[in-house]
Amino acid sequence: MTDARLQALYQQAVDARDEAERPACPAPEDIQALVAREGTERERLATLDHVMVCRACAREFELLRALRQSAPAEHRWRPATLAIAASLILAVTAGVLSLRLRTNGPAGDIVRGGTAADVHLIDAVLPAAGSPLVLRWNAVPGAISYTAEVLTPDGTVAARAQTTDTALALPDSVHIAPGTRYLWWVRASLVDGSERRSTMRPLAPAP
Amino acid sequence: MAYTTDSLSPAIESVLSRFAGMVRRIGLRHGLSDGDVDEVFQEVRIRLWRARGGESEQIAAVRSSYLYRTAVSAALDVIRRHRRAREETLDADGEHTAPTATDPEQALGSSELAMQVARAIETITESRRPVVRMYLMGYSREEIAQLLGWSEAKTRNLLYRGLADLRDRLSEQGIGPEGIQ
Ligand SMILES: [Zn+2]
Repeated sequence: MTDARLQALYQQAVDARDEAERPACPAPEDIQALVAREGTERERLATLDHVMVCRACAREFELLRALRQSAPAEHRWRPATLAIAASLILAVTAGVLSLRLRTNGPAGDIVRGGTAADVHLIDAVLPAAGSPLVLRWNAVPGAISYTAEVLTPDGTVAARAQTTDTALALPDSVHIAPGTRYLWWVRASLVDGSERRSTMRPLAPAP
Repeated sequence: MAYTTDSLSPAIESVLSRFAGMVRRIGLRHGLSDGDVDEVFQEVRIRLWRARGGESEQIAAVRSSYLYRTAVSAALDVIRRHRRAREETLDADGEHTAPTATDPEQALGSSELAMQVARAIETITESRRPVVRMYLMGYSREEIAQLLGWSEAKTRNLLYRGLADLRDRLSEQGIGPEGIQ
C-alpha cells in the first residue's frame, strides 16, 4: 500500500471517529507545550498521539504550531565569524562600487540581479531618541525566514540575525558611530530552498 | 512621531499583518482556518492596544518575543472559548443521534479498510506511533523533526520503522500491497 493511500485511509478513519469514543482531550496548555517543546518528550508524544486522531485538537494544534513557526523570533544577534565576514568583503566592495555608479536609482538602492520577488528594504527607523534602530523590509512570497546583516564600511559583519518577521530592532550591542557609513541588507530563504537578496543600503535613519 | 490614541502604530500594524500572513501560509497545507487566525490577531490587537504605553513599548513589541507571547495567550483564550461553545452545542443536542453516513454505498468497503488501518496503528510500538500518525495526517518529515526537535536521521528512522510495522500488521490481516493500491 502506498504512503498516499495509507494517508487517505487514515484521515478517513479520523473523520469517521465518534466524538464519544475518544479519550479525553488534552488541555490547550498541553498542546502548546508540545508545540513549544516544553515538558518531557514522553508527555509531548502522548499529547501528539491524541492530537493526531482528534480533528478538534488537530485544529487547535495547527493554530498553535503555525503561530510558533511564524513567531517574530527571539532576535538573537550573533557575532559574525571572521570567515563569513571575509567572504562578504567582496560582495560589499562590489556593492559600494555599484552605489557610486547608480546613485539615482530608487532610494539610492543598488540592484543586484533583481527579480520581481526580491527583498525590498523599506527603511531603518529610529522611532524615538535613545531607542534602537528598527530595520524593515517587505515580505517575500514563499519566504520561510529572513537574515539581516549590518556591515561596517570595511565589509565586516557587525551583526547578523535571523527572523521569520519582516522587522528587526538593532541590539544595544551594535553601536552606530556617528558619521560611519554602515550598510545593511536582507536575505530571504524560500520554501523551495532558494534565496532572494535585497540590495545594500547605507544604515542612516531618516531624520 | 506621534500616534493617535485609538490605534496601534503603523509599524506594529505592519508587523502584525506580516505575522498573521505567515501563520496563514504555514497553516495552509494543514487546513488551518482563516477565521481562527483572524480571531486570534483581533484579540492580539486589543491586548496591545490596552497595554500600549507609548512608543517604547511598541518598539518592545517589535523587538522581543513579547508579540509571540501575546499571540499564544490570545490563541489559548480563543481555543478555550471554542471548546466551551462546542460543549454547549453538544449539551443542547442532548439525545440527538450522530449524523448518518452520507453515502452508504461508497462508505462500506473503504471505511472498513480505514478502520482496519486505524486499528493496526494502535498495535505498533508506542514510541513510533505518534510519528506515524502525524505523517499519515499529512505532515512532512521535516515538520515532524522540527516539532519534536529530532534530527532528520532519527525522524526518518522512526517513521520508516513505524510504517514498516504498520504494513506488517496489515498484511497479517491479509491486506497486502497488491489488493488495494
Ligand atoms: Zn482531542
